[in-house]
Amino acid sequence: MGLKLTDLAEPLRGTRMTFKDLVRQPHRLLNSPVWTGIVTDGRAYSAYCLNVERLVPWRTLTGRQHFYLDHEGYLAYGEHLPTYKPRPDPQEFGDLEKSQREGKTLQLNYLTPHAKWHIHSNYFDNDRMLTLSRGIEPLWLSEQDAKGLGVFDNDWVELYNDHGTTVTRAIVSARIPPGLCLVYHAPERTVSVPKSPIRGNKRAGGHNSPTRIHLKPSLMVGGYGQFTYGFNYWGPTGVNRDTFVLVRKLPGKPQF
Amino acid sequence: MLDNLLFVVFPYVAVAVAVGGTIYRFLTNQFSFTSLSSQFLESDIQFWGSTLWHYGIIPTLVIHMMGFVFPKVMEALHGTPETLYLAELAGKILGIMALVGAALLFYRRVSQSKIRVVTTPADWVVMVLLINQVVLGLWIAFGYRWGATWFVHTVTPWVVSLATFQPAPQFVSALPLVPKLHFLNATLLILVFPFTRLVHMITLPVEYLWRSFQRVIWTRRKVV
Amino acid sequence: MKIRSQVSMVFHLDKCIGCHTCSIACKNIWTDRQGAEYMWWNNVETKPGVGFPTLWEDQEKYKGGWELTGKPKNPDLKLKLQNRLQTFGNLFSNPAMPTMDDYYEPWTYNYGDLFNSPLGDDQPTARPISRVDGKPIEIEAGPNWDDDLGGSNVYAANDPLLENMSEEDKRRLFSIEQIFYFYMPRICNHCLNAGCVAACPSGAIYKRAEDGIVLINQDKCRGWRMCVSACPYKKTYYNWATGKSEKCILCYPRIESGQAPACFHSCVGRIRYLGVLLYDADQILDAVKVPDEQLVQRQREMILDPHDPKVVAAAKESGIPDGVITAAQRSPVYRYVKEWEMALPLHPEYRTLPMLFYVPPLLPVLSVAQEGGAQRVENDLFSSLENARVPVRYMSRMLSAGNDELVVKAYQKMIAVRLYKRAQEVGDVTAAEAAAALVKAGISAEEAEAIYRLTSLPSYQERFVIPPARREGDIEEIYDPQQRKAEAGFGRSQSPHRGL
Repeated sequence: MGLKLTDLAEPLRGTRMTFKDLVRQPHRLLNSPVWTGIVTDGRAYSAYCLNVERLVPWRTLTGRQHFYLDHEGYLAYGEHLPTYKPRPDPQEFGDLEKSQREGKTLQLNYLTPHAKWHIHSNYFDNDRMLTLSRGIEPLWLSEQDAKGLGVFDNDWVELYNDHGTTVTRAIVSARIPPGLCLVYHAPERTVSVPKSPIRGNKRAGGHNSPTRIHLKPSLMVGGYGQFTYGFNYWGPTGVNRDTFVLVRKLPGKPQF
Repeated sequence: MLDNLLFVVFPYVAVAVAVGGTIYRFLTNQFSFTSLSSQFLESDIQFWGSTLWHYGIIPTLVIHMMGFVFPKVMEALHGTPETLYLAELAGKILGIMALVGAALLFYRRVSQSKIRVVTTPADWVVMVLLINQVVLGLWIAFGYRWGATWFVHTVTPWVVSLATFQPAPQFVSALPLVPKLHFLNATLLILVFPFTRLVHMITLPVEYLWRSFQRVIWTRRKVV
Repeated sequence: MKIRSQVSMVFHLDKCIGCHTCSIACKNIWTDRQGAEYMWWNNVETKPGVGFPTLWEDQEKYKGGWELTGKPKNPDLKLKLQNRLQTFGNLFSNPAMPTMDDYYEPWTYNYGDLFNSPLGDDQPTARPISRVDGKPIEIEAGPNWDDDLGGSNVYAANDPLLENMSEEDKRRLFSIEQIFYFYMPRICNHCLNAGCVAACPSGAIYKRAEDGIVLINQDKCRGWRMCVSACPYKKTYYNWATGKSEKCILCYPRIESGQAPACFHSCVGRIRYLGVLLYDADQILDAVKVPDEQLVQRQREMILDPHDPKVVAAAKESGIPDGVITAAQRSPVYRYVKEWEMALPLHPEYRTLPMLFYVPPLLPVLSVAQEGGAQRVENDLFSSLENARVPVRYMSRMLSAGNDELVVKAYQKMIAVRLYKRAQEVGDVTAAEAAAALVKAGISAEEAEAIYRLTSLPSYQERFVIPPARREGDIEEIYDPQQRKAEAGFGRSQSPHRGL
């Protein structure tokens, strides 16, 4: 028989929504079996409520949360536990074979992680949220690297590798370790995107232009417990968001 | 006939409109009573412009009023050449302060794009009328030797005659053109008073001199 | 004894995640209008940082709050901005008036260009334009410009609270392994001795006796702008379009109908508490005339115990309804501020008696990265305060006018509660250790449990104990509030346009 969960939908049976309602503001309504919160009666979303309160097993091999992966592929690569692994050699990425240094340029590790208050372009790519940041999704730089590049806070910078180029403003911070830079993902390529001198003054790319898919062998494991192979985007690692770029101060004023 | 129109009918109409209009506006739209300051958008020119203007024009206005209310004092002041000289000098300095201030404010309104956003047609009308008034006043002060001494014998009786409802335009009708324009422009200012930002003059917060610092107000004293 | 009631607030900084949902909730409801677009009645700052408007804590620049003059024995209280006569001299141009440059020039983007650009080789882009004059602008400031230590060498390094810190300490604070920062949400403090109220020449600003909410009467405001300068927290703003000043209204229409203010309601980290405090209004002036280090203690003394029958009788005498007294007895703010003494006022040295209190953030250093892995700092989990990331000195400059002891006491309680619960739930702290911590902090096990519950598991009703206003009957049959959005913002039925 399994678990009876239809009561979760009961309070919502009478709910009707018109197009006008949706235009006015977003509405959250249904408890989804894919997500794990219970949002009945306006309750705020919180992960795993469904699992804890309604005893729905976690979607894993064991039905519990687990960190250890006993698949032999994972064991062979030493990936069976989420532990620290050193970063591969920049050359191994093969993202900087064609790109040349132009003037004062630094090679930096480039990350595009989730930001504190938005996931992808949700909630962020509007004038209000851009007002609460810097009007753009900036490139975070360490104080040391910024000094090396001759870049001050809020200067325009250009970063590029073999795949693409991004032009944005720099945000210099003591909380960024030297050797690393990051742009939170993912702004749409619609707002305040200048042209890129390094690409013959064509419109610069988005923050994802310099990144590409790195196929990690352990991600190809599938058909085992919760593992289902997908070409790009599943798995616990962020290899797609980890590459190397060349960074320089944008020459002259930004062209739009 | 024209004298009657300009120096009797027109002032009465202007004052009636000003008083009635201001009361009506205060009762129906108190929200619109504000200094409409734009210092927030531009502060540097504003400091010199607004300070010079107000520090020049307010004493000037007060002195004019004194001339209507206490003509004897004014007369005594103009009695000896020394005091007359000093009085005229003070008036000229105040007038020039006001003019420089107004010119700066005019320049500011023209040159600053942010200030233009908060400028209405009524603001331009007020500004042009005020600059007119100061220029005409200074013209009298500089162009007509000892013009100040005429004041108590021409303008004061005319204003008093209007105030006591025994209009006597002959006191001013014989004056030269420039003083006449000065009077007409002043009347025009009175006329536009309730329709412009000038109403902020009557909101001078004198109560602040003695009121207690903190204010606590019961919106509803007795709770049911 | 003249007892009044004040709807007061506690923000628990240990729980703030800096998501700015509060700011957005407030902005969407109240300040989404021309002239108000630069205002953030609720904002969230990263500390260390310069805040919004830039360097608002620097009162030498802005001249906010009060100062004591005259003899130390019998001091006079004076607005730092100016005396009454100077007010008239400065009406025409306020020398301490912050301008838009101290805040930021609000902007939007020319989104139309994305659709209307002529055919070309490049994808079009929407450039930023000013919301004031519509011209293209270079964005160089914003209401949250130094978020997450952005531009830390320019902004955080110049935090006025770091002023007396040695270069060595500063360097340490901004080195990657020892860095700290936390978030501080700010709204109007609805002060008892408010600078804005005192400085307003027109008398347009007042405190509502029923609930202590400080409001600006929009009809009486004449735009003299003194409140903007005199508020040391920079929480009154000048609306450049209407020529009137505006400030946080603590969502009084919501409070009157029993709802928490929007920023409280929407708080994701549930850091906000709201409840009534009863206080003795006769003590206000005496309470702000004491030396800096005694200010917090004096403010606590003014706040009265709502369970004391004498206080209840006096409150009734002063016209405070029974429902409000009951609410005061259940107030979570009373517990944090007076009973547990864990919540402290922001910058009490401004002497405005702010009624919004902060529980300081506890950021213990558990371990430091070393060659060959992480190293525990000490054996006990939430070790000594000397190892805390946020220096006690920094917090005391912010929350207790330099009185370290008060901050340490609050921290000791927080540490004790953690150890107590850790001993219960995880077991890697012994019961003896936990008991010792409780003794050190001066709280009982029951109190620790109560602090834990109110900190970690409070329900909506426990966080927000809203006194009954019984003004439902006064509220007109209203339109759909969403339909009037961006129009008036104040529930005004006339459109608030500039001048006539």
